[in-house]
Amino acid sequence: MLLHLLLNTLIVGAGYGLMAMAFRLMYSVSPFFNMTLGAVAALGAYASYGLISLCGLPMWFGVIGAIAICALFSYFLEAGIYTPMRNHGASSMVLMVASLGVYTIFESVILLVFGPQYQNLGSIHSAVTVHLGFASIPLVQALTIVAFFVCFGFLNYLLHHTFIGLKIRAVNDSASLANTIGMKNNQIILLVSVLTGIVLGVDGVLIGYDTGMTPTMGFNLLFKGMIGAIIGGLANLRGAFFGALFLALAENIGVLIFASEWRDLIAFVIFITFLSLRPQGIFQKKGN
Amino acid sequence: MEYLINLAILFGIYSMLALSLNMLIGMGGLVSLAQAAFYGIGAYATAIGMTSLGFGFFTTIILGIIINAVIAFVVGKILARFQGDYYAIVSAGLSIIVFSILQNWKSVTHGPLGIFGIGKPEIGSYAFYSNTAFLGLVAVFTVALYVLYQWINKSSFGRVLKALREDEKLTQSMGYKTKHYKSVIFVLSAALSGIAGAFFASYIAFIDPSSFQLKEGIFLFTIIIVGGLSSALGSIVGALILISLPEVLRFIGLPYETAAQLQQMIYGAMLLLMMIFKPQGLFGKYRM
Repeated sequence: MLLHLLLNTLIVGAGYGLMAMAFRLMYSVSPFFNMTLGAVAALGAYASYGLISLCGLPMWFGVIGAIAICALFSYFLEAGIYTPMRNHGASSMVLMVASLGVYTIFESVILLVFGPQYQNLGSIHSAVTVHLGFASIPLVQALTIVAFFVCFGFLNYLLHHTFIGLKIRAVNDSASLANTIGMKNNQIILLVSVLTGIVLGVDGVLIGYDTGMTPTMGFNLLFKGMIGAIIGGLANLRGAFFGALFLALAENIGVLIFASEWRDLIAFVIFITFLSLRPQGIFQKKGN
Repeated sequence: MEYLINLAILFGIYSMLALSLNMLIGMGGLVSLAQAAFYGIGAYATAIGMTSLGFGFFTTIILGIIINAVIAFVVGKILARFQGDYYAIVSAGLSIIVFSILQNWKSVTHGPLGIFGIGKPEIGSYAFYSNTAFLGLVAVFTVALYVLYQWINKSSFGRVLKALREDEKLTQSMGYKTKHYKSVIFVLSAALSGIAGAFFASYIAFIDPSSFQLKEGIFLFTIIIVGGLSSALGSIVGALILISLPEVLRFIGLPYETAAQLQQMIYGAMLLLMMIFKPQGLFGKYRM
């Protein structure tokens, strides 16, 4: 029972966690609530559906293609919309509302192209299972957990052990100072947007294979990832990693006590409770 | 003619919503995406009050105002801790919580099935059965709200609100308890949008939770962004533009589904373009 709870937490948390890490990574260099991150993840699911199920491309080609499309989309949103707006002095609120507009446009385009119904990628692939001794899970869920740990390890390495990572952290610490000493902030933000797009693409494809897709999936995933990142504390990547797991655990316990239809309510109650009582998150010291 | 009266009633209801939201966002600078929640609570107070409890329409308006005021008072205490985009995100979370309760508290709200057979307003023995009479009643309330908006706008209370919108710390240093002001305008705005909910429930005679999602809150936000922040005229013009848009699309003769998506797309594009070129809106006096 306990093991199953923890396993399920890991599966759900991994899906949230990839989004949480992407959110935290993007927020660190471009601090506003970017609603289009949800669109990028949803695009990952729909692009792989389009390439594999509609165009009949081989699975791995379709998956890699979808992730590349997400990276490009994320790059163009940043380069085409947010960077010019930021250069004209748009506040974080204005950027957030603009991203809400872009998200609305994206969702209606998906609805026009793919229709409002639920689509599924994974009916064949979910038959392959991985045995863990006490339970067996579909391969795609095992891959989600692996992707979660690999992305965490990779991003941590990149941020803390490479020169590029140092630059990203410098923009995070003080964008204006980094600019003053001659760093090209916009280039770094664009680079991070590509990285974010890749992580979101992986998340979107995996969720498309695991639970299927609806045009509104992006918003829901975005909120869960954002809550994970914020309750973990936006100071570092570890916060997003553990925050997402904590959110998944709390949701799962809540679902056991109440019922599954209260899942979203539980998530937002936790979010608001955390923001009210410990706004700096789990891992950040007060006044930091 | 009947068609125009129907449109005018909707225009009146949305003008009330836009005016009450503009008090909060425009005057107070508090960007709330939760307005649809209070609109919904007002509608449900009328629906439940008139069908199960046998109250008259005007009694349920007062009931809705009281319920909304109590909820908004508690919620407002939580929200008053936040500023700017955090305020917006937390309010979005509150909207999702209220939607989840309307959807899942089936013994009271009937969940997704909704509530049928909501009656029309009555004064003495006169019932507002015809749409023309109903429009008259809506018009009276809309004009009253417009006058109230202008009155608050010119009052000392309104001036303090606008001061705290521009610089909260400075206003605090002049001795104003800004948390108190933020809380009062939140309660007032929530209570007033409940009136619009009552008219909506009575006019449509059937309500379900899907009319009061976060999406609706974003739509209301779009109305005042387009019309103009901190402007009573802007609220009305914004409501007129956004309520007429679907009719224009239908007039062109697009199929229903395509028109619905195109409409969403245009709403999104409006938000984005306003943020890029005119973040204060057409008649706005305040820039986010």
